[in-house]
Amino acid sequence: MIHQQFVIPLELKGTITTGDGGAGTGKPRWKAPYAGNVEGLEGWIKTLGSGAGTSTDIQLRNSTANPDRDILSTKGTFEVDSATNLLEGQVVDAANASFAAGDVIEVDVDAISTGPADATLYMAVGMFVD
Amino acid sequence: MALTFLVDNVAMTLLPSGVVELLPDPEVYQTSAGGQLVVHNDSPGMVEVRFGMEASRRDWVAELQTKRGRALQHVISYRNAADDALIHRNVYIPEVRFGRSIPSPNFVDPTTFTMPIVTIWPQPLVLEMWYDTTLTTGDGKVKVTMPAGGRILKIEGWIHTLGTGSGQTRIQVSNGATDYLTTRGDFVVASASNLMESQALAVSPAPTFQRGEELELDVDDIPSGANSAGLQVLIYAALFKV
Repeated sequence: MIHQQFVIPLELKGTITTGDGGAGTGKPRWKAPYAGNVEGLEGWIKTLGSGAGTSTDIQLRNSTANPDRDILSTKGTFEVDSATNLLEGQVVDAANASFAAGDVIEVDVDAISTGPADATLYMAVGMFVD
Repeated sequence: MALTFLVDNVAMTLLPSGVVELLPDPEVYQTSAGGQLVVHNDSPGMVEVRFGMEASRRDWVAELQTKRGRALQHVISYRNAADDALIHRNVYIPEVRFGRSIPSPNFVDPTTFTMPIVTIWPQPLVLEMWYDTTLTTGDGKVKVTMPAGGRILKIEGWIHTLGTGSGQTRIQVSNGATDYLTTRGDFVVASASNLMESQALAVSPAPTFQRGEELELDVDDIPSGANSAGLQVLIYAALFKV
């Protein structure tokens, strides 16, 4: 067995809407091929949207855990006035970051600006590869 | 430091009394301009793990030996000095045995193991094949030129829009000549997960590729509604050095 870091891309395709991720929602899901830990999250959005003071807020959630576990202790935000279009402020909750092989991690969008679209999230994970 | 010690992601019941990382110091050279040149040693360093207490029982020997088994290479995990993160190190764990007479039978002295940190080759990585729009059947929908030779470990996937009607979006990954999946991956219209199902990776011949070879995503079938879209296939592979 080895421990290895990977970067997993998660694609938010088209217009982004609020709501939890899940099958049929159009929000990306990732099935872990090995056990491991989420170590970080970065992201970039093509269209920030509009609406002063608003943001598009991103949470990661382990939907296989019972009960579901939010993985970020502080959500990541795409601020509508961002100069970089990059995800900001996200903090991984180390106590909720582990996952088992076969667990599914989903992307929740907890708030949006007006009309955000097309984001890619890059989730850094360390996995125990056997 | 909190007492946490795992071998291959399984916690040890009998914990070591100390863990110290021995990382090589960089060498610093004076340059002619009064600056300095820092050269980092290629050696990844070592971890010293100290087990046992004076005249303690030998139980930890058996536990460590069980977790080590007959394999030399393992992952050990422990808290960092700041106690705010878990460190994972790929190491060689030496074989451990206990003596029979010093200081007395079935007792051991505190023992420090030096576990060399290992730089892993082949290097695992994940490749994304992303097809953004409505899917149609055909070979080579997405292509990736491999920067080094290697072997595929797993293939997983997710689809944004399952499509309607009957049937499924069915995919294959190949190098243009050889298919890597003996059973193709399906995204059935009635899927409850939007995740790839049923895929089986080839065993023989091994799912390997050469440097410069193109891996391609083939779409062999689509639902009767012809409206599945947004396909992500993730290829977990181990890359060789050349």
